[in-house]
Amino acid sequence: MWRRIQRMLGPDLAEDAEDELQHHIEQRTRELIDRGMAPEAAREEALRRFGDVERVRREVVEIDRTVARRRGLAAAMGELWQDMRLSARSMRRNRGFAVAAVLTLALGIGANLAVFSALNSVMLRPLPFSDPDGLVMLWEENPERNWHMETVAASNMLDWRERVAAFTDVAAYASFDDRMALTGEGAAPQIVTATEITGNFFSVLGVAPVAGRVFRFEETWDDSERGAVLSYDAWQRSYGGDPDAIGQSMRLDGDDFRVIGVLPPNFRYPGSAADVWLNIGWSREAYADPSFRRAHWLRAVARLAPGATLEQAEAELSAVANQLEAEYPNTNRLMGAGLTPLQEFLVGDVSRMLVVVLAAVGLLLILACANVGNLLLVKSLGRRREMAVRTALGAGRWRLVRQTFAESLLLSAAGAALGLLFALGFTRTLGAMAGETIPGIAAALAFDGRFAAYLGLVTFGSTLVFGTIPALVASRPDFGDMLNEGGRSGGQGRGGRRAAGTLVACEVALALLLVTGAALLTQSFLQLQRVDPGFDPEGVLTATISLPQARYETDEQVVAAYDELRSRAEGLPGVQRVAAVRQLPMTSPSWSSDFSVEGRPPDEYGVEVLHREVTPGYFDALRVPLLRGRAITDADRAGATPVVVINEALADLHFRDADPIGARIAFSRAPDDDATWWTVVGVVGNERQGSPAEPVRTEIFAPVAQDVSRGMNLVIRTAADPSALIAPLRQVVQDFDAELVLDNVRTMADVRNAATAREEFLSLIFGFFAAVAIALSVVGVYGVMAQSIRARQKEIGIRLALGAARLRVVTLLARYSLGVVLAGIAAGLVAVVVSAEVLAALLYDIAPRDPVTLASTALLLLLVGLASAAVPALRAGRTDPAVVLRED
Amino acid sequence: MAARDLELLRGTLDVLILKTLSWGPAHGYAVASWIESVTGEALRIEEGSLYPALHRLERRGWVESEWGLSDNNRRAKYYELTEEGRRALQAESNSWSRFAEAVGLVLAARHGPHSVRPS
Repeated sequence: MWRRIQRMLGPDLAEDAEDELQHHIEQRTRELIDRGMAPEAAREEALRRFGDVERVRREVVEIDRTVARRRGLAAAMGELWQDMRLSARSMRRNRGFAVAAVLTLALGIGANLAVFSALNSVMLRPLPFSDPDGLVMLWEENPERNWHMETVAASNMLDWRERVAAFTDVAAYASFDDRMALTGEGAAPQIVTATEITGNFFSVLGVAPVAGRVFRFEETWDDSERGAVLSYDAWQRSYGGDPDAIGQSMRLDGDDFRVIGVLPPNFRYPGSAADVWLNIGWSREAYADPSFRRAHWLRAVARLAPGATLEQAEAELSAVANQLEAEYPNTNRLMGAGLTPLQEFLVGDVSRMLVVVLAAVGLLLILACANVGNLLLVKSLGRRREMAVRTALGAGRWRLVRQTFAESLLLSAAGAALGLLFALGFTRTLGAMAGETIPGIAAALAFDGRFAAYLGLVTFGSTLVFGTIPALVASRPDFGDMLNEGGRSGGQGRGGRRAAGTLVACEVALALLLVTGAALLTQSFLQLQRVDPGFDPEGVLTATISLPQARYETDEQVVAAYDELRSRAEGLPGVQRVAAVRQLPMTSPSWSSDFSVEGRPPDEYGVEVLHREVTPGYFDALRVPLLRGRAITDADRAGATPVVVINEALADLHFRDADPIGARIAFSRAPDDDATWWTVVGVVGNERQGSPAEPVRTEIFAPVAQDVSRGMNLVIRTAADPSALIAPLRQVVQDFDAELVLDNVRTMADVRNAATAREEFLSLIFGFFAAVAIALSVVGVYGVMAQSIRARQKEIGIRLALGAARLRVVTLLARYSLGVVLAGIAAGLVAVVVSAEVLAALLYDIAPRDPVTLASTALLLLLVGLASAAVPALRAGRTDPAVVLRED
Repeated sequence: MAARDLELLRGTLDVLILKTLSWGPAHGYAVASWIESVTGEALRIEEGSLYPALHRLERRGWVESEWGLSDNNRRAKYYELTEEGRRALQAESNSWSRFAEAVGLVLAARHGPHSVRPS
């Protein structure tokens, strides 16, 4: 047995040589005996004439070995080529089959390539920083405030930098971007995105400029000149890539900045669209100000010291956080700190989502393979007589298996080639669908080594998946029976039918898995859409506006400007109400503070109340219901009594039975004599501040006239189509101040949809996968049913001829398919239950093993399965027995 | 004598084998016997040296081998001339003939080298 296997793998050179030489000596001996020599003497003479047998044998083996080495690969390729050519010929004969199989595979492979390419560009590509593994994101957490991975306070970050030995350096950047108007000598005017950074930001990342220089740490402070580092794109756009741009002065929203350097073209910071990076310009005195420890708004990046481990750094960071809590109990109560590898922090979330999508698309490919496997199986069963004949004529079983695999490989290769083309299109669709939910998603296929490896994996992986069963069938030793069967119908035989049944059951199981995923994600999405946002998004246009300090210096100027803008916009046709708010609802929560209610014991205070500054008319414009008291009016000016309106959540949590109207609150945990007291004048309904999946947070609204904000969002309610207002609104702003920038112009409905964009993306893409999965399994069930009927046509004919009721025949045929479908559903349900946790993190308000969803998808697949089995069964029931029986 | 024969044969054995195989496929023993019988034992070769020569020819692609059953039902390796081998035989035998002719001319010469007059 062992020798047979060895021979299959390749000839045994030494043994062959020995056989050959011995054959010669034996022949010679025999001849000599025939001539009359004694056997002993004859053998001796034969050996003498031959010479040194051992030497010759060694020489021959040596020659053959060089031949084998040289020819091994070439021969294998040659045989493969021959097999491929045979396969191609066989495909040409079955053009319909080949087209169906290649298309199915191309769809599956193309979808996989597109998703993998996205994942590759987002997650697997290392960040373009030097030694990115040594970078960590630092964050703060606070159980009292429900904070986890929160932005950090400036002074805390600077203290970590001084005290944690496990960090070489710590840098920070603002967690939000600014949109600014760029003007200045030699620069094309435009709107740019600017991010403020500490001076050491680029040196911590290890990014070298292509021109000029980057900031030094000392430039963190306001006693150094304000500078700008340009992204490569911004340099090209604004200065046409002119090296003389370095050293020039440019104006951003009216302030002057010196251009000091340009970043390399491949520089990108995940989640950031910054065109210019500005040094943050803190005053050295402010460092000691409590507000520098209270306001959390920075993202801090640290580089680990050589040899320092994550655990070590985390422990040191925690220890320092504890020190700071003891030193600054007022601001740092319960304030912990932690770290996450930078790449994981920046793209982990999106990556996890893409991994789920990749898993789904992988399942889809397996399903497609099962389908192609089925097609191949049907085809190979049809060719069993041919195979049997070839076996009988001496074609080795191994050779037949190889032949079927060559066919499979040819299909995969064609599928992969076409799949690559599909992937080009899919990538564009995926990018468009994902939009901003997947920052950094490449709009084009990202070809690199990993992509090539994945392409190889899916191609050969698919070949193995769908090629194995037909190959097994080809290698089955029961071909002898086939020759005796005599039927011309190419009956399926039990083994083949079982194989086909297994494949179809797998298809049904995979389809169930995908359909369940789609159903869960879609319900989750719909659930989120049904969440009451607390405002009416229809008929509202919004736009961001920021009044630069240079031209709107005083609070009075800012307030007057917003008043003027509002009244001018209200004059536009169809406009009902215009207001402004610092932060739109359903985007992300605004800034927050602690607070105390006047007259309550000192240990009774609130944490994390959100602040939004609004103009009069805000609640009207968004139709936020006023529940008690009054809204903010034009009378709430600077100098008048400071007032706030609170949301229902705050009223419920902190005033329970008491009437909040008239109560006074201060935004501090322990208000001192200088504290400003704000009088509550009204209660409004809850708006969702962030994602609808997050609970409503406690919130106050202050008049912008009493708590000035330069950056605001206009909200304009109109009776007409809000997007028709865009051009007139731009004109109004332009007329008011030609240098003002109107940004993020969109309808409030878009804002609301953007809050659930990720869920929408996932449910859409899974819905698409599920539809394809169902279609594929319909084809699978139909195919196996039709095949089994064809195999039993004679039996059906006889039964009908003998007077069996047609219905009985149909049910008899359907019973087998029903069994297959039920087995698939059972397996699929098990798979869903086992793998449910994968989806759990992506679901809102629905359990990953939701029984109703499971039952409905199972029922759906059962119906689909039965329907696709019924068509051929009913047709069989209409068979004319006479025709069938005459056929043989 | 045997040693000198071998020297001569080294270069010519290949041609002899190719010529033998030009009549059709044969195993090593048959090749040896044929050469032996045709040359009437004038060219007695050490039979073992035939095999490295056969394998070298196979390596050069001039012959192909296949295992088969011999007359007495023993596993035997059959060699067959390839198209390339056939062309090689053609070329080799032509040059052999020219060589033999040249040698013949030299051996049949009537004048020694000194009869050529220096100019």
